[in-house]
Amino acid sequence: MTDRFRFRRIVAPAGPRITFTLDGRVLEARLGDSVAVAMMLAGYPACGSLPPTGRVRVPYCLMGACHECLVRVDGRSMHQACLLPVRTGMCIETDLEGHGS
Amino acid sequence: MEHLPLPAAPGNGAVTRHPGTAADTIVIGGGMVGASIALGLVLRGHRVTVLDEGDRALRAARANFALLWVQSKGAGAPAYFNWSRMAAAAWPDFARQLEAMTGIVLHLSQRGGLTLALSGAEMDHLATRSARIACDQGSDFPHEMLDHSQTRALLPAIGPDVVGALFSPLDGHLNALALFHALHRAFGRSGGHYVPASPVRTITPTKKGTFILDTPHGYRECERVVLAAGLDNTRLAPMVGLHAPITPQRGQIMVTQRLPPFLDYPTNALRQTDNGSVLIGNSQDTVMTRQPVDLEIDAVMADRAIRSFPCLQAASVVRSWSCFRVKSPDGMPVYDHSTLWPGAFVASCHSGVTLAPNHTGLVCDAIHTGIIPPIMQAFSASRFTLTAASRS
Ligand SMILES: Cc1cc2nc3c(=O)[nH]c(=O)nc-3n(C[C@H](O)[C@H](O)[C@H](O)COP(=O)(O)OP(=O)(O)OC[C@H]3O[C@@H](n4cnc5c(N)ncnc54)[C@H](O)[C@@H]3O)c2cc1C
Repeated sequence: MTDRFRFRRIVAPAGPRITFTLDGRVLEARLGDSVAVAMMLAGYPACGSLPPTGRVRVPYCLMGACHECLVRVDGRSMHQACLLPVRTGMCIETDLEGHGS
Repeated sequence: MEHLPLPAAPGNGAVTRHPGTAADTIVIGGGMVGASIALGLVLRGHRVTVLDEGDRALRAARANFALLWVQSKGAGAPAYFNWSRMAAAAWPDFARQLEAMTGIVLHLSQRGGLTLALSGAEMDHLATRSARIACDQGSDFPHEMLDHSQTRALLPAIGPDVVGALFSPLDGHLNALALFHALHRAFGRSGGHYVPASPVRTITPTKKGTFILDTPHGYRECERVVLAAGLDNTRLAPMVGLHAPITPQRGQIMVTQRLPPFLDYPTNALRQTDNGSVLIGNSQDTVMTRQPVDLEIDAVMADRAIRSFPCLQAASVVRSWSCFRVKSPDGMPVYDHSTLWPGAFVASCHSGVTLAPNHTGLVCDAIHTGIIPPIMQAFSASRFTLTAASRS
């Protein structure tokens, strides 16, 4: 899965393994990763769609400026995935159907 | 010689003195006005160098609201209305040419624009101002005063607080960052030379009629110099016998998350971009300090935006910025050719997006020939000294 988007970890993971859900799918991450990084490493970087065109948006700047990585977190919308540390049991939702397929 | 090799590090007090470049024309400032003029001059066969500041400078070109706006311009100053209207009429061709030269899509839309009124008093103000413009123009001001339901026919998302609106088919908007990019790309592709991080400290006219510009990278010499340095024109102009009384006026803008298209027309305070973001902002204050975004101003603008379009209640603001407008005392542009030092020109204006076709066109003809045509004469800075003298 990671190969598909060619993201791989090049420094040793900081924290212990945890799990979170992305659109109902249970995925693994490391404590200390941001939600965006967790999604990218799990092979599902798509965060939503762009209203006018329907094109998929993915994390772009990874530093809080571009707002391309907005996701719903535990029921609250408009979270910047790149700025939010992932936590055990976190429930991430995008507005995409058939995410990752 | 096209340009000077720049030293690796900026000057450290001991500035190396290069011999001047042989650029025909130097444009000081690579903002909206400078980029437009530089392109027009290079297309007229000038060898042009643009000297600009660095990324942290005050730059309205990167912070504006991107309206092509005519309907509010020049009540009591018909020359300014005509100048803006002429630019609006030139936009379709200008955009096509720029897009063809650069491959950059400008997302130009000129279907008209509205100013919404949220009270009877605001409606009256719009009607009075429009009547004044129409009177100046011998009734040739295409516009309509719309009531609530007529406004809703154009903008179905308006809320009950909207009393009515001024609509003019002359207005429009575009992607101003794309425009700025395209101006620079077209300039570069046409052989223009752009030098960033080169603030001009002084301009010295020489006896042989050239100008010597002092920058942190050394001196440059040119036959013609165009002052398009935005707010810094006020400081530079007297060095070449010109006058450019510009004061900063702060404006603030908020940007929402991207939303499905719901605004078919721009308003003076709110527009939806080609990306779906909604830009909110027409704040004007004269805070002179370079302070960050003022949240109280954002709150006032957000409140008005939600009353205008209640669907924005649920939208999140993803960013907000403030920037200084480049404003003369009467809000009109300043264009002049120095009589003391011929070859030195100044250009400053508040609506540099709207007026870009004029800057690449007529203003460049004036710089090229050295003759300011009648249509531009109302914009000489002598109007300020004359009024000051007649008042005293
Ligand atoms: C909030 C806001 C909203 C606006 N909305 C609109 C709009 O909707 N429609 C519209 O038409 N216009 C709008 N404008 C106005 C428009 O952006 C300006 O008219 C335009 O950018 C002015 O162009 P300029 O080149 O004179 O100044 P700028 O674009 O500011 O450029 C000046 C350039 O000169 C450089 N410079 C300064 N000093 C020196 C020096 N000594 N040496 C070398 N370089 C120097 C600066 O770094 C900068 O790059 C808006 C402006 C603001 C602030």
